[in-house]
Formats: sequence, structure tokens, C-alpha cells
Amino acid sequence: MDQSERREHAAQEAAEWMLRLQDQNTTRAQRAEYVRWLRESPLHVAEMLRITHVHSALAHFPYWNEIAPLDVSFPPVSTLELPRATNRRGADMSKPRRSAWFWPAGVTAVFVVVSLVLTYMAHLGPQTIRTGAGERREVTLVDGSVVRISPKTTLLVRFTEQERWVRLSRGDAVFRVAKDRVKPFLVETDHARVRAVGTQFGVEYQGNVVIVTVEEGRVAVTQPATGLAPLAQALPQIEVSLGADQQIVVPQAGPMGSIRKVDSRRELSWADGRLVFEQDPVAEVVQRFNRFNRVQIQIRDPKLAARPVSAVFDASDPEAFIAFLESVANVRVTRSSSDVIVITSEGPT
Amino acid sequence: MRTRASNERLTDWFARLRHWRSPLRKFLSTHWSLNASDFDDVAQEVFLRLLRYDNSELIEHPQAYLFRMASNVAGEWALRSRHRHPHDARWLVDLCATSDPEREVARQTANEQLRRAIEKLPPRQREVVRLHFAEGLTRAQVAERLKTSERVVKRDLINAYSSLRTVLDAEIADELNLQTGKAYGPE
Repeated sequence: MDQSERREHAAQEAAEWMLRLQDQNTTRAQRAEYVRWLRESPLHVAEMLRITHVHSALAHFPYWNEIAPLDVSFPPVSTLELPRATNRRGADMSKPRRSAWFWPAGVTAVFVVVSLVLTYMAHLGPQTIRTGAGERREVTLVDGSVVRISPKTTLLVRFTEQERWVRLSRGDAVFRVAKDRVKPFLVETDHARVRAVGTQFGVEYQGNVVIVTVEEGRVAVTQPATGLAPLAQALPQIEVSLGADQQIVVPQAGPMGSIRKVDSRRELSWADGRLVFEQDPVAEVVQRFNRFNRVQIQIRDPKLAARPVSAVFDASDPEAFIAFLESVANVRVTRSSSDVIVITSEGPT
Repeated sequence: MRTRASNERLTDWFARLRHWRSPLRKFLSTHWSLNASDFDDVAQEVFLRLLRYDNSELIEHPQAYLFRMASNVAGEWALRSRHRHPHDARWLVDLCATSDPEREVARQTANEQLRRAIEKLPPRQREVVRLHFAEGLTRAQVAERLKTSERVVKRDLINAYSSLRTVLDAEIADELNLQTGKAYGPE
């Protein structure tokens, strides 16, 4: 056993002791056994302190209301072990998982059995994926579909025997959908519903509109009828079919825009953390940067805001864009706080 | 008489511990970003004390003794480290402070990490942890609610504790990552 296996093993034992000692009626013999175990190794003491640390953190965890309860009313699901995240950039995600490889065989076997039982028996609820500011993530879902998720995005994933269902409640994501003719892949937002079978497309929130961009294959976009618009409900639901390099803007209310021909690679480059601009106004560039970063840029000069920009930036590096602005225009940069950068013109030029 | 008094003190201390108003609570709640070597160093010293300490009360209240030793060690080191390594052992010094905004931020961050980690637990483990901690159900009640056995619930809790601890402890996570890299990488 190497150090990390020993540690895992000690942690399991410590957790077991933790539970046993919480029971009111431990016998003296059990407690003596526990003390003997502690005296066996400093590692045992250390892992006991860690498990206690976890216990304390859980006991004082303030966000339980954000943890979705297991939805037992939901019909059993055929797929799953849950959409297990594989994170390309931030490596922390998969660590607790990988540690399973180092558990003693018996424990791992139990874990595998539990997982299998889970897979076939359990009623599994939706899985929430949430990214913070500046956090990009790539997640492989159980069906093999890959989702690239932008910062500040919330996704709810629920796979059933009939469909693969994803709710995007805020932010942007690009979906590379694994082919499955039987189970359509549905992405729902507040005011657009996208159905795909096997394709790659992006869905993004931009203020009040949702933009759907298709890179390959075809998707169908509909506007779910809302209770707010009884008139709209009376009208037949319009389904728009989008093909490769096509884009549509779906507003919160009112009819969908018309289909636009776009360079989808460029339009979806945000998923790779790149922002590509071609003759786009500074205002749009700023808007994009602001969505990707905690630091917010404000442009106070309408002329500057309208100036076209052609460049490629790293989405997480607004400073590069500011340096770019400083090099091409006569601007004054004011950092009014650590989070806000105000850009004004340096007088008439 | 003396024994009785000390017994009462200990019982009293143990009662307080259960309500997390003890020095241990402070120790634990203030060290969100405690790293592996800190724990390991404290544990090493506590281990030595456990070996030296032979008292039947230890067996009556092993957890209480363990935690008291841990917070004593941490406290003593805080005093010492203030002179020796003023920067290295900041977390130990923190023990003495009651609250400061920086720690509040650290706590926020840790809770945020914990939230993500809880969400990444396998669904039933997550539900077991949620029912146990958020709804305060006993393991038997959790088992009943999930229509499963208490043994399964126990196993879920143990696995959850074990994987969550890596989240709260950056160095263990690094260690695991290194190991994993070694195992998967080219030899």
C-alpha cells in the first residue's frame, strides 16, 4: 500500500468510527477498540480529525436548500451512473471519483455494487451543473454527449427512457449530442425549446433573448407556450428547423427572428474560451467580456462603443482587450474599484 | 472527590462539544482551508499524547479527549508559532481571533466548494447526506425513507465523508491527483 491508499483506508475506518461513536449506546469494549485504533497510527488520528472536519462542515452547511432532493416520483431511468463530469481545465472535479481506484478492493467492490444497484434500481433525480464566474467546464453526459459550459451557467440534466432532457436556466452551453434516434435530446430555456437527435449546437442567453446556433446536423426550435400570452397559445406552435451554420434569435415574447447564416465556429468560439470578433462594435466586445468575467468593463463614450473591432481574445483576459483599446484609441482607463473598469475618451482627437 | 469533579467537568465539556460550542468547534470551523500537513502535524502530536495518556476516562469519552487534545495542540502551537513562524502558521494564530471578514470569505469559499462537491456525489449518497444533515433524520429513518437497508445508508455516509474530505483538503486532493497521474500516465 502506498501513502495515498493507506490514507484512503484510514479515512474509511475513521468515517466508520465516526458513525459508530455517534450512536448513543457504544459499549466500553467498542470505545476501547476505538482508542486502540487511534493509537495505532498518527494517520488514523489525522484522518479522524479530517472526517470530523467534514462532519462539522456538513452540520453547518448553509446551502442545503440548493441541493435538490432525490425525485422519487420520477420514473426509473435506464441509463446512469449520473452524468459524471470530466473537467478538462480545472482538475478538481474528478478527484473524489478517482480516489475510488485506490480504495481497498473490498470497499471498491461494495461501492461498485452500490453503483450498480443505483444504476438499475434507484429513482434518480435531475443533476444540476453550475459554473461560477470565470469557470468553464466540459462535461460528458452518460449518453456520450458532451456539453461545454460557459461561466455563470446553470444546467439541469435529466435523462429518462423517453428523452434526454436538459434545462438551461442561465448562461451558455454548446452541446455535442451523441446520436440516438429513439431518445431525442431536448434543451429547454425559458422561452425556447431545442430538439436534436445527433448534432452540435450552442444555446446562449444574451439578456432577454436566447440564441441558438447550429454547427452541424439539424435541430428544431420551438417557443414553449407561456401562460402570459393566451393569444400565442391559440396560435399553432411554430417549429423552426435549423441546419449547419444557421442561427436564430428567440425573444422572451413575440415571434422568433428569421434564420441567419453565420460562421458557427466563430459564433460558438466562446465555448473554447476564445472570443473572436470581426468588425464587431466595441460595445458588443465589452458585453461579451463582461459575461465571462467578474471584472466589468464600462464604455462611457458612444463613439468608441460603436467602433468596429476585429481580433481574437482570450475570454478570461479582459486586460488584453483594454491594452488593445489603449493601443488603437486615445482612451482613459479608470479603475473605480477592483471589479469595475471605466473607459472614457481622452477628449476629442 | 477530585475524580468526580473532573468527571463533571468532562461531562460538561462533552455536553458543550455536542452543541459545537467547544474549542474544537472553533478549531474546526475556523480552519476551512487547513491543509494536509497542518492536520498531519497536529495529528502527530496528538498521537504521541494518546500513547502517553492512560486513563480510563479516555475510554469513556474518547472523542472528547481526542478533540480536546487536538485543540490544545493547536492552541499551544499558535502561541509558539507567533514567535517562530509568524507567517507560516497563520491558521493557528487564527484560533485566538473570534471573527474577521477574511475568514468569513474563506468560509464562503469553502461552503461553495462543499456545495459543488455535494452535488457531485452519486445521487443516493447525496440524498442520504441531505436527509441526514439537512432534515436531521437518523440513519434508520433515512433507510426507511429511501426504502433501503441501514447498512447501505451507513456505507453511503462513509463513502460520502471520505470523498468530501478530499474537497476540504487541497493537499490530499493533490496527492490523489499525483497518484492518479502516475497510475494513468506512461510509465
